[in-house]
Amino acid sequence: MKAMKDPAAATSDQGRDRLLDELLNHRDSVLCLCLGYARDPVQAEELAQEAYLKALKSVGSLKDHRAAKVWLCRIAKHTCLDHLKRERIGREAVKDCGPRTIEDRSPETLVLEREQRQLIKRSIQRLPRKLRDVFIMREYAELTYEEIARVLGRRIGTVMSRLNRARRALAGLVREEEHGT
Amino acid sequence: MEHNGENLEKIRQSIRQEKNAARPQLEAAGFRAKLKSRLALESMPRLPRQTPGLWAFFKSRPLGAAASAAGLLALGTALWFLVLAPSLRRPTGTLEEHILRVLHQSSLAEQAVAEPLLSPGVLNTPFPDRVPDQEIPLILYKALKKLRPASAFPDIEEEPDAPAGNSHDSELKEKNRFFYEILKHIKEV
Repeated sequence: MKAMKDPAAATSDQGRDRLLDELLNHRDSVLCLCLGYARDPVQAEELAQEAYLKALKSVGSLKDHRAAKVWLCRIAKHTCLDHLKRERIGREAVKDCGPRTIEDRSPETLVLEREQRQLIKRSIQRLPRKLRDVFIMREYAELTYEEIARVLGRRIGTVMSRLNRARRALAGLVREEEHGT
Repeated sequence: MEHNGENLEKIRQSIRQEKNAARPQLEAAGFRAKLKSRLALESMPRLPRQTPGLWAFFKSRPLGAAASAAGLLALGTALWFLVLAPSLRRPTGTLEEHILRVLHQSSLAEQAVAEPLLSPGVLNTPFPDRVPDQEIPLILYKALKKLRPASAFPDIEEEPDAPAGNSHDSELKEKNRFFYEILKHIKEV
């Protein structure tokens, strides 16, 4: 029976832990990005975990550690899009994305807020893919224009233009949903 | 434009609420612990997947295996009798070709040439369903002519000599009679 781990393995474990901690610094951005694509926070966490696993497996492709955030966000975006493609949740009605905590607001207010959130989530899912990606990166993950440009491999000008179009389109879609419901 | 601005503010507020609601998932410790356990699971050496062989299946479930084999056998037999055998028996080609084939196979004497035509499965093949009745004699005639030179055909008007004698002779006479009946019919057509 092996009681002790061999030193090489221990070193690699420590190295992996350090790397993991370094990557986990960007956890909020990754989770929020996933939240933009996911149905609910639980699914967002699942997607973020999957993205982190993928990132750790292909950590060799990360050349510059300063670019880890952009690299992670890119992996997360691809993971979410793959998942959307598989599950086609983009076409499903967003069932519930509201808070589950007990709050001091009235039940009517909570219900109205939840309905509003569902409506907005549905509208985001209806955005064209290019516009939706930029919007989620900016509004959910709160990435800078430059970071978004690096994730997408586009110019900052393109990002700004897409974001502007996304906001206008989304406002229109929300209005449409409100009139439809 | 103002309307759009209002809507955008509503959207941003909704996203903020959604992110607040997801706070429990954003907790660093829980996320890290889950990720570490998943990493540990993924890095565990995997046992080669063993697929049970046929022999292992037979050995572990002899009754089940016997039942399966019997079922397969029954299914195969039913399939043979219902689908394969009839399709093998079904003749192919035109009626004329079929008659020719039957006559070629027959080693009977000249007088008995009509016998194969009499047997069920020749005139009662699926072909007459497709061939009008009045055309059947003509087809028979063509088939016979292909088999034998014209001179071999007896005069239709002429009745064959009826050999008197035993039951075998009377059978022959009956066959001849039928043959001439056919030829007469052919002439009428």
